[in-house]
Amino acid sequence: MMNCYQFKNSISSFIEEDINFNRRKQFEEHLQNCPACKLLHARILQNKKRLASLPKVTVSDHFMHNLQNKILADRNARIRQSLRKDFSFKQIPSFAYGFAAALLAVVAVFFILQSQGTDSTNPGVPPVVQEQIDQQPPVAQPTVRQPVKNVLVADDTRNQIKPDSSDKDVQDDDQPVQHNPDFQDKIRTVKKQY
Amino acid sequence: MEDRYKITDEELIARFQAGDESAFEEIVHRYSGRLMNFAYRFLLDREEAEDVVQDTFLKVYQNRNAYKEIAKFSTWIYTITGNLAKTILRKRRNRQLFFFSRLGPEEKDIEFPSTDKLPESTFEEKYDDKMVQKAIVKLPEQFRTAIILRDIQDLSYEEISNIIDAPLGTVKSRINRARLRLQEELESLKGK
Repeated sequence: MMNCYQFKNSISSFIEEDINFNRRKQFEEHLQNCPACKLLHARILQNKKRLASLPKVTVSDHFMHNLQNKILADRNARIRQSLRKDFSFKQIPSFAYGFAAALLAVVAVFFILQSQGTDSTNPGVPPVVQEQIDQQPPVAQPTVRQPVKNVLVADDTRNQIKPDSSDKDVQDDDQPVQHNPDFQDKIRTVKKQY
Repeated sequence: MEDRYKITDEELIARFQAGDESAFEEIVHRYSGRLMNFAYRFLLDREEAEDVVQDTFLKVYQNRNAYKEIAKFSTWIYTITGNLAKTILRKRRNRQLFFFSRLGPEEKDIEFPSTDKLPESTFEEKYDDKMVQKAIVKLPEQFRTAIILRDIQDLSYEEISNIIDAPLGTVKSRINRARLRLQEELESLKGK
């Protein structure tokens, strides 16, 4: 047996005949036994008819003219937009400004750090290590090789061995001089001859 | 002209997509009345309803290639109108000028369509229509859409389901509840 709640819950299915035979029988039985639901059913049917017969609203006479104007205006606006090719800051998306600022900051920080690094004597050496290096006693300097004086040298060897004729060459002699073994043999030969 | 009516809506939009501007005019001719009724019953304002219908056709014109023949053309165009009408309602709410929620139904008369084109309408019929329209506008948005599309526009449940993008069961339930609620609103209006 159908109750009022079930009836109300499915009244549209009954009105639209969207139910099976057995269900329909239950609706009809309830309608016969419940005056309130019978009244509700009648009212809803009446409203449905009333809604279907509401006066039709038509568009105004200048509807088509206005629509054509709107379409034309829209088309012109699009053409104008596509023709506007000159640069404008408004065209740049806002995130691009943020990205540029961040990039600028990174570059600035990089240069600052680099300039600080070149100021120190040993770049990259921690201060503690630098301190220990400074405290170490100076390492004994290797004996300075006495320059060979007034030695006759073959023409080919002038670039390698220069006679110690001035003080300025002393500094150069501190550096170990690399001699070509062939030329050293030649020098020894010349020494023996004289 | 008779031949043109043999062409389906889907064929018309296909012609329009191919560049036939006269097909667009035919679409406007076929749908302007139906959409105007829908928008007007939803908004209860003739000017706003006409704007909504014009914007609907403008969108169809601009986005003609967005329509794919997987759905009925009528469903697509009703969806556009429904969305635009809802946008108008939202704007109204934001401006707090929606007179039914603010002033109450008896404090301001409802704008009703001109009776010039309806000489057969009697005073009694108009009064009933007025009450019905008042009751419709008092319905929640989703019930209003459902009942207008079903009982005024006479669309099928399947079409409504596609337009409001809700399952068929939800559509049936909404229509049932909308009818019951409409009856309640009419009872309360008659009692006042």
